[in-house]
Amino acid sequence: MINSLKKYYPVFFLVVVILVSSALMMGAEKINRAALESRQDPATLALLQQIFTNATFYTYSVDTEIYTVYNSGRHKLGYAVYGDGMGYRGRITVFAGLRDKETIENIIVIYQVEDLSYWYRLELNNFFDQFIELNVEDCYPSFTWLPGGVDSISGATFSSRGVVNAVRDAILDKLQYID
Amino acid sequence: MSGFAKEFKKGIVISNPVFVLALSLCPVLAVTNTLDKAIGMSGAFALVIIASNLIISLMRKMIPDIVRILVFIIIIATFVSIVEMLFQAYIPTIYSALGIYLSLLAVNCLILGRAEAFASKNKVSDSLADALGMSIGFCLALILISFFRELLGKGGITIFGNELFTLPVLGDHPISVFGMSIGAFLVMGLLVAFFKWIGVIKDV
Amino acid sequence: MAKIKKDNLNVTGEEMLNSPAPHIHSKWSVKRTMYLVILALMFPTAASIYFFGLNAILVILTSVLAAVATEYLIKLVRKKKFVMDGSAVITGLLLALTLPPTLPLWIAALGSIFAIAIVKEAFGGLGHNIFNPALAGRAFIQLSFPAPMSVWIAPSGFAPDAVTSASPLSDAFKQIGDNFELYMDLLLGNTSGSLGETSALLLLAGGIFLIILRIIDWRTPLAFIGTMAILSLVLGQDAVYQVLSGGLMIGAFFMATDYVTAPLTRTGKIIFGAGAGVLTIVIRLWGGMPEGVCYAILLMNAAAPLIDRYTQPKPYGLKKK
Repeated sequence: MINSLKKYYPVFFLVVVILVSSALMMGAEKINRAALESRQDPATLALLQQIFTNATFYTYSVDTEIYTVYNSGRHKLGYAVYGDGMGYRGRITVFAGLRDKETIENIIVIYQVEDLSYWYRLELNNFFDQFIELNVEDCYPSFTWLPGGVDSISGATFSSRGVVNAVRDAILDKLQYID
Repeated sequence: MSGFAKEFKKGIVISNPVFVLALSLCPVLAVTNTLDKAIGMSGAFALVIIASNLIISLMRKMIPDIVRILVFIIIIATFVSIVEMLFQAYIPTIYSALGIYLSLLAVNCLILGRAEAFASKNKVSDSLADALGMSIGFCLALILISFFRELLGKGGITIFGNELFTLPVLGDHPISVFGMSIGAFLVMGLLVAFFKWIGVIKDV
Repeated sequence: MAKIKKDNLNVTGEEMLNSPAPHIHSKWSVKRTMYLVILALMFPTAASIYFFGLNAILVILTSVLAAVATEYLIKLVRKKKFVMDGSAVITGLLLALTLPPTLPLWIAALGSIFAIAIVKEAFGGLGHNIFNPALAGRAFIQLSFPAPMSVWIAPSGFAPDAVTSASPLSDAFKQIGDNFELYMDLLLGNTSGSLGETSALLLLAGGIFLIILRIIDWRTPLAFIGTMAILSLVLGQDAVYQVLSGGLMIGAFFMATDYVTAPLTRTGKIIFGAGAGVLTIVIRLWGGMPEGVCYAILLMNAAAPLIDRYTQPKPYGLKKK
């Protein structure tokens, strides 16, 4: 009985080694994750959580200026990029979240100096909801001669177009870096 | 001389992993263009080889012969992953500078070579001495090569962001060849020649 | 093939054999050959001094002195006899002739030191180097100091005000003047460029002088320049211009014919020249650099032992396989 089991000793040993090694690596990953999460900028993470509600972790690439966003299980939720556009009064900066190469997750406006009454029109008319799950190819300001696109809010056309252009500025030349 | 001291000394000069054995040249040539990266790589190498030599030597009677290489590689790869994650957690600048070469330690011929040729056949204290000696020899070699490469290829020495000094003429016109991989071969070859000439390294 | 006794091979105290027996004794010693090559190189040297004045003299002197001093020091360190056989002078001179006139002198000296110390002596000295030392030295400083290595000035003799201008091989230059004037300028050397590569006519004179004296073989330069000319015609380029400009003349006559780094067989020499020609035109037309002669010859140097091996003449009486 024991002799016949001895034959399987190498397999048994290998399994034990693999299990121990996995346990060790899991431990190391816990330390790694705790350290990385403690280094996150809470303000940026808060912004990212406005776009991706489940976001708990992000990485930032200095070369491509892309934030990659993860949930608590370290599954990739998407990407986020900053972009600028010109509104009626001046610069509009948005933080645009991308689910993948094709779809926009959501956007938030970081900075704008538009007149308050016009800006409220955008919010009241659910202008920003248009960006949720928008196809990247449809992300352009709509014109009467150009069907589709993101509808501007009448009375606040320049602000609307400024936001759309900011999103385009953010995502268009970054699409090549993501997969 | 006691066994420990003998095995310890061996790795530093007589069979220096880089200059004499000419093993694991991939990290040597790839990461020695700055002193920072060389120090980071030496640290990672030392951690992995000490841990793997220790564990393999402890388990040497248990490891079945038929799967021994597999077991060595799993053990080494585990330690490399752990070191990689710790580097990413605590010294991210060096982690990103080393890039892929940190993970490549898992298939480093020197670490596997010491595990197979030494640690799996010798007692724990000797294996530990061997690992310590090897990592000090590796570290010295990397620091020597990267010192000259950074000095000539960048015109000055900078350690962890602190500029130590800049050479007068080369500071403005560094010999950029030494930053490229050609420079690694040149510096290494010249150092080996120099050590042979002054008699530190004997002909094998 | 019978094993050759080592004692028979001593020329100037070192083993100098690089082809199998039989050997014909030549009246030319290594020293005499070297000095004749230096004599031939005096043509382009004189031209460079005429066109670039003081700059040329300084660069050439620095380079030659650094080369000879390095060789002397290395022989001293290695406790070997220093023979003033002129090979170091040739290396220094050839290197200087491929450098731009305004190069800082310490860079020229560095190139010479690299050429002699690393490329020649580290491989065992005269007769043992794999690559042409002067070209490898040039490649070294080209890689290290790309900016100072691409400053070209218009030839102005000893006049003090040097004007930077485009190198003949850059596109900007090609638009100036009609073709005949351009060709004449290239032929006589009245263009900007490296010190010794401007005057095609004088380089040709030096080369023919060496060919007549049977110091160099006519096959390599002919194959090199011929391939360049034919390929430029085929690819729709200005053949005369491609042949006369850049470092082709000095490369074909003085560097591709180096005894040590080129193949020994006649067929091999033709293959060597043709290969260098193809590589040069490929680098000039599609490469990132304007000039490709240097790298083309270095690459063919690396292939020379292989060419020798495949073109070895079969001993008489043996069947071809």
